[in-house]
Amino acid sequence: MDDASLVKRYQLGDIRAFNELANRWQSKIHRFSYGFFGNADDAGEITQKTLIRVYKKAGELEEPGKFSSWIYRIANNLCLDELKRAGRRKSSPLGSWSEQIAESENHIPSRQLESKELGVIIQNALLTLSDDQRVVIILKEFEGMKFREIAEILDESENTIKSRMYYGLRSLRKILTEQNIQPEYLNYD
Amino acid sequence: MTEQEKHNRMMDYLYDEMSDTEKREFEELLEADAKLKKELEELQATRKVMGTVSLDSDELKPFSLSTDRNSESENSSKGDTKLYRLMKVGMAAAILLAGMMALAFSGVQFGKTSDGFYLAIGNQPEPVQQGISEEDVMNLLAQIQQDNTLVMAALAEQTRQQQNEQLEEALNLLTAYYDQRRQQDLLLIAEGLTQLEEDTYYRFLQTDETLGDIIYALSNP
Repeated sequence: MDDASLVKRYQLGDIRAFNELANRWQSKIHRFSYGFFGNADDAGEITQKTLIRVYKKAGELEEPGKFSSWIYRIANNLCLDELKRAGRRKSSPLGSWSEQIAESENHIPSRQLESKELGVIIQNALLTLSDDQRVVIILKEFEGMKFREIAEILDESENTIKSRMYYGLRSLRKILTEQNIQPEYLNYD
Repeated sequence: MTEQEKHNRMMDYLYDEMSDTEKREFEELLEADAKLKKELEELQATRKVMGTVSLDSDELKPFSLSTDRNSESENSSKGDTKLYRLMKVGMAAAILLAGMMALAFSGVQFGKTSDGFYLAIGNQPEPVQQGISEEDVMNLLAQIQQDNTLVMAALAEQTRQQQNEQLEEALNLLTAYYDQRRQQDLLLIAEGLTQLEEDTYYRFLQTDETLGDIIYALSNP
């Protein structure tokens, strides 16, 4: 059964339909918010708040077919609210993190990097991006959404989304190059 | 084509969101523009790096609601655990504050004296027990010290006896062991001597037989 059918059943009072939706979406929302904050606690809180909001508002959702865009929009708004509430302490300024890593680890050769370490580097690199670029990269690169879908979620034009994607990727490229990762992973083979 | 349009096309190409015709057109553009091609390759490499990791965390807590529609409001409030916890703390603080105010206005006294804690309505209670005197305390301490000394002495004597018993037992075991070894050695020596005696006796017999054969041969050429 697809999401739209589950939403319709939930709108008719079937709580099991909501539980099925929650089961389907909690890992996606958690992954999305984890990419946003790089922190499992914050990601868990955003996931919970998102699902509670879905629980309260899905009954009024006029277009159940657009549930996917709707739930990501809720999660994105909650992430932005959390950043505002926390006074932007949860994101790092561009460069500060990479300088810190470069000094402490003395430019680790790429071949010594394990996947987990690389994950941490990429996660931290994501945190240095602007919120607009970060959310686009997460939705595109880790959630595999189309530019059209991302534009719908963020209520922006497709060209704007592509532009954010382009500049976000370039920033990531710059950070990864500074971390001396390119010899092994960034070759063009 | 503006730079911005090129970037947008590059994103479409990078994520395969182009028709075949658009793709061919863009590839022709790439062949003509080395800088654009290099940039595309760099971004493809960046994507390749990102593709090696995932953003999954192991710390996802399952979320579900009871299927009982009647308990909707209860579930909703339980779901919002943070708010629920804050409410509980707030209620506890309010109860504590109300209790303290009630105590303050009712003249209830709570405090500590040399005899212990007290809780009273009105004035602080007079001590009803004077406790034990210094002499009693000294006697008590002396008695405790004496008892401790006796206990320690008894304990030391018991330990010494146990050690002596253990030592004696160990010596007995060692003696028995060496005695057994000595008996075994003597037995082995006796067996060895008997064997040697038998061997010597058989050799003499063989020698006698050989000499007899030689003499017989010499006397009957």
